[in-house]
Amino acid sequence: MEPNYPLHLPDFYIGDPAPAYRDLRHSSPVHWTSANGGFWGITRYEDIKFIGARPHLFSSANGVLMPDGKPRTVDSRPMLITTDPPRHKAMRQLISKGFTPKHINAMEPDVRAIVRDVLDAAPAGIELEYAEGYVAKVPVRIIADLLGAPAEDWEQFRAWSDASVGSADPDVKLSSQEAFGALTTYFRQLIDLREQDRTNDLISILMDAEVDGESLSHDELMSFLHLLLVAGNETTRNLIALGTIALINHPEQLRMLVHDPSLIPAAVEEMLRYVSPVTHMTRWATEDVELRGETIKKGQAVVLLYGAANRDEDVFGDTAERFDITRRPNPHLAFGTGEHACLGLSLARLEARVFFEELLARFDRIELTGEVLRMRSTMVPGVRTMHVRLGSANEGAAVR
Amino acid sequence: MRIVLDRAKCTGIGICEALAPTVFEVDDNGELVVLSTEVPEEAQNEVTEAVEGCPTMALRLQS
Repeated sequence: MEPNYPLHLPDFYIGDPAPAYRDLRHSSPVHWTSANGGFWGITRYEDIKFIGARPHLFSSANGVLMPDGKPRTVDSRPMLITTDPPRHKAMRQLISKGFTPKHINAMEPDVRAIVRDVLDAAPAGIELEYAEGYVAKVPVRIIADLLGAPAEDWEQFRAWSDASVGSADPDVKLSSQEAFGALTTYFRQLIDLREQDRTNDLISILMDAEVDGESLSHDELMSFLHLLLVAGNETTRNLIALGTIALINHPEQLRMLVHDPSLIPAAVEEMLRYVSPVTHMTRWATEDVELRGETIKKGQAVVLLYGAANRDEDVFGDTAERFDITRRPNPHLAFGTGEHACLGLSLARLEARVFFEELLARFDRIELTGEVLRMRSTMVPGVRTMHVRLGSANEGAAVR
Repeated sequence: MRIVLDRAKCTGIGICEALAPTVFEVDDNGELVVLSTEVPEEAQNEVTEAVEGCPTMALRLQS
């Protein structure tokens, strides 16, 4: 019998999808789910690489989110993430200049200052809420700073960004449309300010940028800003929070990391692989394509399940399901693959590395003291709240 | 071993630079510069990882 997994539901991703992924990779690597209008779930590493490398066969123009069963309409606000070649490359290059390793490395002092400011407020030895209260503050401040938003707006910014992606979650009070509207108004104000007075922030750079001799339209500019905020916030928070949980669940790895902080970059790669903070992206077949004996019909959706590919035994061997911070090489697909691969990957790596460097320099023990409450999302099922107690190496004896 | 870059595929994201900074550099215009077409002896592992890790398959090695 064909396996039946609810790939269209947040609960699937909030639980442990690893056993289902293992089964699917072996028994049904190109797997049809009829819910939500139907889509193919792709779980093997090689297949996801194949699809990612062929944007002419597997388009992003119909959207990259999990199909929801509603009829597809062409988005009036084309986003970089839903743009196909050849325009995609030209648009992307505009913005990628600000995200090269050189530019991102130059941000390290700023990133460290933000992380220190957040972690200096964390007390040792008493229970605290870690995800919302600490981790979440870091990526949103960095992205908001990059966009040129003044510091006093950062917290408001975060509430809107959270709400605009958390629409499937009944606990989020503000609807995603309301949050999207609030952000649009806010961005318009930032743009108006730059009309008079350009600075060196990302908004100013984008206002002066041209694709094929034309400036970006107001809508294009606006969608860039939305995309950057949403893409840079929840994802990094999820990586750090779930990465911390992976360390808590593997105390021997945590000890190793505390003793040898030079392992942190490799540990971040392993967190990316093991956690896969973004569960999937979707593509749409532009013609009939045969894959592993199945026919993906023109117009059908394929959902690329990065977390499944990241545990593929054919690539990661018989330790594929093990969390191993010394893994090398680690060619995971957590940032996607192909020309839509995550633009912000150098920044995400920097943020996570600096966060764990600063965290583990202060605290050498981390324990969960309660339940982990997750975001009910199929794409970025992050951590809403998690309570932990942090033990400091120096004060540890007193609070134990 | 020589490094061959396909500019039509490269999006200038700089994963190669992060893995092998002595060989790859994305310049201020977002264009990838291959600093050494011949793979340096001491950087062979990093270059191999960079070539295999390129998300757009813009890099390959030629003997």
